[in-house]
Amino acid sequence: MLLLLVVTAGAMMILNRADPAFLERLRTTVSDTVTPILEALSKPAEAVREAGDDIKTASTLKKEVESLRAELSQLRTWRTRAQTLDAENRELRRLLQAGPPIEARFIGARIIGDSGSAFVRSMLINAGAERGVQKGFAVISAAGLIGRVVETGTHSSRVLLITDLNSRVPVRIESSRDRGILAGNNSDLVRLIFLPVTSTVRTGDRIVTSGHGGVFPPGLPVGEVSEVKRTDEGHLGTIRVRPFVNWNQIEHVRVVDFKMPGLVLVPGQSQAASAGKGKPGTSGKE
Amino acid sequence: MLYLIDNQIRRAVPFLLTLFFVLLEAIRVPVPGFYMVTPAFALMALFYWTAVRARSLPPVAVFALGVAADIVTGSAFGTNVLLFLLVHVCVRSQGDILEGNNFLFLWAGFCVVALAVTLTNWAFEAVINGPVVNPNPALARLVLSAISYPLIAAVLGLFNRMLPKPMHS
Repeated sequence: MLLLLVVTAGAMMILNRADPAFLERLRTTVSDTVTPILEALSKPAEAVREAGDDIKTASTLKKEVESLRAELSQLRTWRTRAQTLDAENRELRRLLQAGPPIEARFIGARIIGDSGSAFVRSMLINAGAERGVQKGFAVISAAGLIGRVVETGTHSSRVLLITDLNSRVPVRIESSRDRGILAGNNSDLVRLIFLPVTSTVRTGDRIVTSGHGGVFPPGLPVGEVSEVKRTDEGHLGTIRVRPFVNWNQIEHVRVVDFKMPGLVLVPGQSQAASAGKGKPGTSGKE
Repeated sequence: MLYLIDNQIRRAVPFLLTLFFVLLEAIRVPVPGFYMVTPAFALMALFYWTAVRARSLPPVAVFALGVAADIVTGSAFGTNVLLFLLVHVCVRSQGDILEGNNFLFLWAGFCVVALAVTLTNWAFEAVINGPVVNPNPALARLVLSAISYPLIAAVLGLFNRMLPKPMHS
């Protein structure tokens, strides 16, 4: 009996590589079932955090108010600038007869579970297919990109974080427009690979999604280059990026449906069908 | 009849508590960096019950717990199943030694098992995903698990005392 179970476990590990539909269905069904339990269990931890937030001294609050006022003033300036640029952008698009910009739809969700493993970087959120979440949708926080949906149940979805070993995100350097791939490595600093050899990437450069591959909308803030290593000959070596997202503080996320068919197809789905649906499809492994 | 139901519930306590710890590992705790090094609560419960009450967790139950852990943590299917079954086999094979010894011996046993599980899991991930991942978070998790074991064992001990005496396994 024991031997049979061990063999079954080994077979499951091998089958896992093929990503069979029934294993995914099992995952999503169980995730949906445990979602209310996880939500209930996370309440005490949340209450503790909220209590900690409440116990703030008057001086801390005063400093925070001052900082928020300064930020508000800055944002008002930016809003004016953005409105001007938006009007200019619309006018230029009209002159060039370019199509309208891609419109995105946002679905709010709460994080109810972590992977709880040193080898996996994923999260469980309390929004699923019933709220329109689909596999492949980008997930963002106020700070920037978090990851993408890899499994969708009825009431819950699993998000693969950009820091996970299996995550690959097409990005570009905002200032130079150089394209590259952001590769997770299960640490808080992700690697930037496949940059052009002529790239002038520097520490502090902002990294945004490039939109290539159709999985992520273009222009989503991802992170900032924190380290650039060069070889003795001056060639680019290891480049590390610190994501904008503070993994310890995020509680709520937004799932982005930017209504663009993905180039990576769901098994059994044709390119035409995917394009016709107008939804990104991904096999979960880009 | 009520006695039978009560007995069945009592017999299911080790499984249900281990399942609870599987879920507990997936809870977000508002401590910076904790998500990377969450102690292996499920492993602690599995080790404890297999050591003190091996018959309460038959291999099929261990298999089910492994499946639940794989699903809740988002790990590759089979990883936790295989690790849990290996822990079950190892601890059960040493049942006579573990059962007759004091807590310090059990604690040391858990540390050895946790180290073996960490290394095996690390090797699995390297095989499944290709590149070798940084082992530091896993080692930090191992240390936290070893430190937390006495507390979890004490909690589980309270439940164990409420259960009927185990038959010799």
